[in-house]
Amino acid sequence: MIDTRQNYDDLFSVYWPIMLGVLVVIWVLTIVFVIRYRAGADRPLRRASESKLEYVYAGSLACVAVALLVITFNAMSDDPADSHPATLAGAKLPAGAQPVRIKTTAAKWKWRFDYPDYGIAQTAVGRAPARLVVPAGVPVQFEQTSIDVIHAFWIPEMRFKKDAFPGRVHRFVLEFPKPGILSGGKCAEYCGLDHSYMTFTVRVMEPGEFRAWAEANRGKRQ
Amino acid sequence: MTTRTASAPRRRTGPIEAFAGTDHKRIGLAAGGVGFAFFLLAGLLAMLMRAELAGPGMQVVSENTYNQVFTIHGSTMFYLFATPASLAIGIYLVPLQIGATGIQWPRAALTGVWMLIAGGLIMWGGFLTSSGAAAGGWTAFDPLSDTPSSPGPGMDYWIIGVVLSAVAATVWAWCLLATIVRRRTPGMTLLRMPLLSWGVLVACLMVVASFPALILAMVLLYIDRHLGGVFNPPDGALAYQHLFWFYGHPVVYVVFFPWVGAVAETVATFSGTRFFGYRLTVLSLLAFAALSMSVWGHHMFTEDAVANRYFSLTSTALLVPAGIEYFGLLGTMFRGRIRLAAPMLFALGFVLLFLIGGLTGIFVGSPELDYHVHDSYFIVAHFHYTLFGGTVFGMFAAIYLWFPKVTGRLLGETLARWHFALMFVGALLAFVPMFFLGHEGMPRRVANYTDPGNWETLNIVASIGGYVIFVSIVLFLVNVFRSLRTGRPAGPDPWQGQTLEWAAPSPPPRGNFTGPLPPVRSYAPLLDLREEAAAR
Repeated sequence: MIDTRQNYDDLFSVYWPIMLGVLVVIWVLTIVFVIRYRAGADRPLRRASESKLEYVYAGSLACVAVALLVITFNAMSDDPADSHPATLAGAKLPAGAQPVRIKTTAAKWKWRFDYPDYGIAQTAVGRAPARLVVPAGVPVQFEQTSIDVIHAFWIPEMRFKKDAFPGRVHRFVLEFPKPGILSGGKCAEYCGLDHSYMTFTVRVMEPGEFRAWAEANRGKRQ
Repeated sequence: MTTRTASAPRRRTGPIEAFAGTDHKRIGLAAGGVGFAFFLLAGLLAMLMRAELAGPGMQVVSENTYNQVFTIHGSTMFYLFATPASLAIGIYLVPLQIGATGIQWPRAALTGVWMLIAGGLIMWGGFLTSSGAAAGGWTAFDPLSDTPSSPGPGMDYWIIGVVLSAVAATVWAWCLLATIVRRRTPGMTLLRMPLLSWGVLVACLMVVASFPALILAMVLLYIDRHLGGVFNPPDGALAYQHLFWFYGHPVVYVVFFPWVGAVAETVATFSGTRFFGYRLTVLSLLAFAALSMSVWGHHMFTEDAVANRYFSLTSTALLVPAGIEYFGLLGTMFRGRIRLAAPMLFALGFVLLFLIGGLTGIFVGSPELDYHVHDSYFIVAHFHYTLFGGTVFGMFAAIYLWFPKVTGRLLGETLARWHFALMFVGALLAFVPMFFLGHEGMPRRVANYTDPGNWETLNIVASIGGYVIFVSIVLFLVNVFRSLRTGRPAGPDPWQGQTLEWAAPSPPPRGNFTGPLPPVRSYAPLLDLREEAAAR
């Protein structure tokens, strides 16, 4: 199973060079034309239309669009976070892997992470943001909602974002590749006064360490 | 008549005539002038934001003020500047370009100017209330914009301002469409219309098709705020976004196409040749407009609420008409006779800078990539290259090109070059760092951030870029005020123009043309005349 970051990076590595390549070609062409075709020299002017060339060009643009769409659609099919029912039913889970469930609740201007299997609730305490603790290498199923306005759950290092709407539940699956402390998560959808401060920390543990943490904190609500 | 144009007289215009005359040129200038004034005001708000963001922590304004500032910056730029300016250029120039003596329904168009002024003053009036101006972003998503989350009159004023400006734009669009349909001079078929007029026509089609959705959304939001019961959970917030983005995506092309047309004419004029691939470019403008009505869902990729593949398909397909337009622009320069006067410099700036916005637009049209960069500074960078690199550079190309037509005097070339050089460098400094900030995880619309390493440096560079742009705009204003008094007299056609407005005196009198119009046998009738004279 690949993670969202890998999926993003694979697609990025195709799109970005194409964008940069086209950018460089058109910048160079523009500058070359300006230098080469400055007024003064008596050159024959080109015709106002080359219809065959134009249509060949338009056709090749369409081919580029189709190619980009094919790789984007493939990446979407591979997206482990995709909330497709098959994913949630465990179709993409490796044998024996038990998914971890987390309920994410967004509110002005805090996050709350509930672990229903362990009775744990992690919320912001004072000025300290809520802590998201997850195991590495195991699918984590999120069920996300908001209790007031629209927010968005974003972990930049995972290259993943999902909005949280009041009255709606968004489901997605993330797999964190390796243990460690990520640079954190934040609200990406503008949500009013303290939007800038609506962050959370992300700690990824070894699966065994995570189980120990969850058992030790069973029933704890903070 | 020739003596009048040679001495470039400035007929004194009283304030009543400037804002209550029914000549289409007066209406266009008033609409464009009001729009430009709001551009300057919104630019000052941007300077305030760049001051605050230059370092982590809160230094200049409070979070609450910052939220009002970015809301009014974006709202002013879209509702009070970009849309009115993009239609104002049509109100001034379309009748001249199609050989008409005026605009259809001038009193309705004049009413639009007053609605824009009233709407702008009401929206900005929010700053005078005790709870401040609206702070819901230019999109004012429900439920953030409902009464519990946004109490106070600022949000109501904002809604009224948006409705007034949107109704004004809709009125202008109908006036312009009627003018194009009914008042073209004999010989001026649709496929002989100059590209600026085509850009305006296509923009007007999108206005009449999409702005009603905005007006409806605003009316419903107002009702929801005062009576409740409209945008209820679970799906009310989504319904609002569908209505809003059904307007909100086409509008970015409304504020773009007229300037594509202006840049196309600038490039053709200063390449000494007619535009390359005119027919296919017109076709691509129409295809662009049609497609643009089907892409709104790409603003909602992260919401689990729309068919992401469908909206990715329509959004990516836009690269075909956009690529055709670039082909036409570069093809026109290829083997042309290029003169690098001020309008051409800004047109080249448009070509180079809009490209960055266009290419990153294809990038964010892929949902998998958008899941990361959506609502981050990457998006802020992307749309500033489309709106600043595109709309604003295109607008300055148009201003430098048509200023002599409007005033009878040329703008100073030296200051113009400084204006261009600083604005171009400023646009790169200000917005390129934002791509990196967004990709590294800086959300948009934040008043504050903690620096994980290089964000302060990137933000300082962006702020410096912003102030460089500010200086360039000051130089432009100095240039305008100097040139209005002492600029070189332009005569009717200072640039070897190709379209009918250059056959009229500068400035054109009421009724526009003083002699018989040249015959219209192509989309470049004045170029035809010169070529015939050379062949003889």
